[in-house]
Amino acid sequence: MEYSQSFLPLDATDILEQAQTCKNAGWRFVQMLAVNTETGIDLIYTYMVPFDAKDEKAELVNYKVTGVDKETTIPSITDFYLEAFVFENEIHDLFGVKIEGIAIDFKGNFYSLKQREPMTIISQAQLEAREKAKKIAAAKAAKAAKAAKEGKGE
Amino acid sequence: MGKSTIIPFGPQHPVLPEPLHLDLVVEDERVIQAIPQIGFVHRGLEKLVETRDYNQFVYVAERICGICALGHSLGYAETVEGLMGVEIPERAEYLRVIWHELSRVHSHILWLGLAADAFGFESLFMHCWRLRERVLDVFEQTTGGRVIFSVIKVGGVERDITQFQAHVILDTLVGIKDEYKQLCKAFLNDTSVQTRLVDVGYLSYEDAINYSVVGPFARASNVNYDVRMLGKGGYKYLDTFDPILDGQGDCYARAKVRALEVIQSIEIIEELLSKLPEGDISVPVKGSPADGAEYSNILEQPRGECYYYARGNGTKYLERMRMRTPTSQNLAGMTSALAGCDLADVNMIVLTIDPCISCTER
Amino acid sequence: MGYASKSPWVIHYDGSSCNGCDIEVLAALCPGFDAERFGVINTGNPKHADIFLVTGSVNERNIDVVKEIYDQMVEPKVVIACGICACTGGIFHDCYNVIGGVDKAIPVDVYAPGCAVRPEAIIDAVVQGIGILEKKAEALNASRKGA
Repeated sequence: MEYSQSFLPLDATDILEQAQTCKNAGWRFVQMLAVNTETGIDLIYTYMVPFDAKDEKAELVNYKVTGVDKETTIPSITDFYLEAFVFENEIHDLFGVKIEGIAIDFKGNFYSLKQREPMTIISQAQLEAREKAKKIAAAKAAKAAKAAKEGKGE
Repeated sequence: MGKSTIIPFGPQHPVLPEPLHLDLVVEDERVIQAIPQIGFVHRGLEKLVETRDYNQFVYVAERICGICALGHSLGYAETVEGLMGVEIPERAEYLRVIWHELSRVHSHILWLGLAADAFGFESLFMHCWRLRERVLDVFEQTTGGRVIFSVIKVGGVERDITQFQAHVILDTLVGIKDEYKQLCKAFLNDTSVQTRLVDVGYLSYEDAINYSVVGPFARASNVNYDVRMLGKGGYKYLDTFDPILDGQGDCYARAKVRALEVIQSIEIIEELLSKLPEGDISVPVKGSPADGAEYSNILEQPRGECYYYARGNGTKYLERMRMRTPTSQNLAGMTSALAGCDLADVNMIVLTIDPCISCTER
Repeated sequence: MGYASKSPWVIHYDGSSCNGCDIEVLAALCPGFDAERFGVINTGNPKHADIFLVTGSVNERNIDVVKEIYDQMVEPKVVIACGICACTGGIFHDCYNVIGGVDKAIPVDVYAPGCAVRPEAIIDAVVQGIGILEKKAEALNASRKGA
């Protein structure tokens, strides 16, 4: 059977509409996750297209919402998919994203944490590694540009 | 109508191997509502990708859960290999599936013993765990560990199995199969077991689809979904694969689905061992994941479908690694199955979803 | 052997562990290694137990639970930290939610390392714990007689 995955962009205002379309089409909700980046937080909602064993094809669709910051309020999809309450509570506790309308809302008490929003704090080792990788990439690009210039000069 | 009281269940309870807290709203022995509260096992290990590089993180991924240890290291390794575009040799794929199916056998027999202990059938608990020791002996001979194996790495597997060890595995499985079938008969055909399990904790097909439940919990309500059908990884070398389904939707059906899956896994291992190819067991992996590359992966663990997501950032540390485990998906279905049951059935229903709270909370 | 250590009853609690050490604790009581032939029974009630087997590097929410179980046990009592996570925090020692070992919450008498701890090591630790239990029982008796 064929299996494929895809990443599609999604706007923060279309989250509810997308969830409703998927629910009406009978798609299965797989998960929701958040990634902390330098330009805000990315949210990824994953749905699976329902398949019949005779179809011989299964597809995993990941919708990516980028650039969510502390001020944006994200609507909850628990009206359509109740099982998302686990992931939405967790994202609220670990990343500090504001989500309103969760069906079973623990209001910040899902996990009791020593530090608030720990996933948004980037550790020293990671910052140093990223700096080093940027320097190596810049040196590589400069070398390639120089080689191209010399190639043109000849 | 009686007065409702709230009874706290957990976190320390003799029937629960893991801490989980439920507030049961009870009216005269009937549970009206069950509000779960978790958070006792949250260690925050997804953040450890920042201080352990992508090769070292396999060891952290294994220790998310001791019962599904091999499943998590397999899913993680497959995800990073997909992220970096690495193809592993055929023999490594066969070995990974053989160890994963052995892991499923040990996990389901463990569950059967705990479920029997939950309603007082202690001698079945002892028999199941005695049988399970034989599977753990196989693990110890081939990987060196009983619970945590550390045998899967990014790029293949660490150890090989010799011809003699393959014979030992086959002999052990043949020995287990007969004794296990007798145990199943004693469990599933016994009238007192049936009075405790039949029609308890019913989840209908529509509810199972609505709450997107996964794993044997869903297959016992006739949902036809098992990731092994998709033929990913080593599962594409199987001749056929049909998931085991049952339409009853109660605790008895879930126990039956798991009991039959053990026999199916033993047959899968026998089939793959008979056509194990020669070759290398790993390829060297160099470099780091590209900046901004993403990959998602699914895998059928003993408890259901598990989803993995990885994103690279150009360094040897991954930007983000995310594991969505089957129990977190099944929590909504569990709260729905608990509504309206008797107080004495609560621990049985909680156990039939096969909760692995340390997987849920990482 | 004194009366307190003839057949000690154990209570087991998972303090934020991965379950590997917990299933090895249960395996030590099952027919493979069979500690039950010595009279060791796994009870669920802290007031009936002599030995407390803790696994896992304890997290923020679990500190109170572990302390509560320890306080509810009756003297003389022994605490055994099973697994490297309970001894020092193990592989998770630098996680943000972990305090790094059971001995930061309650006093520990015996440390049994391993990942996951083998049932033979657990039985060895329980035997050492029995020796400590006897000494504590004698000290308790002496203090009572003295008073």
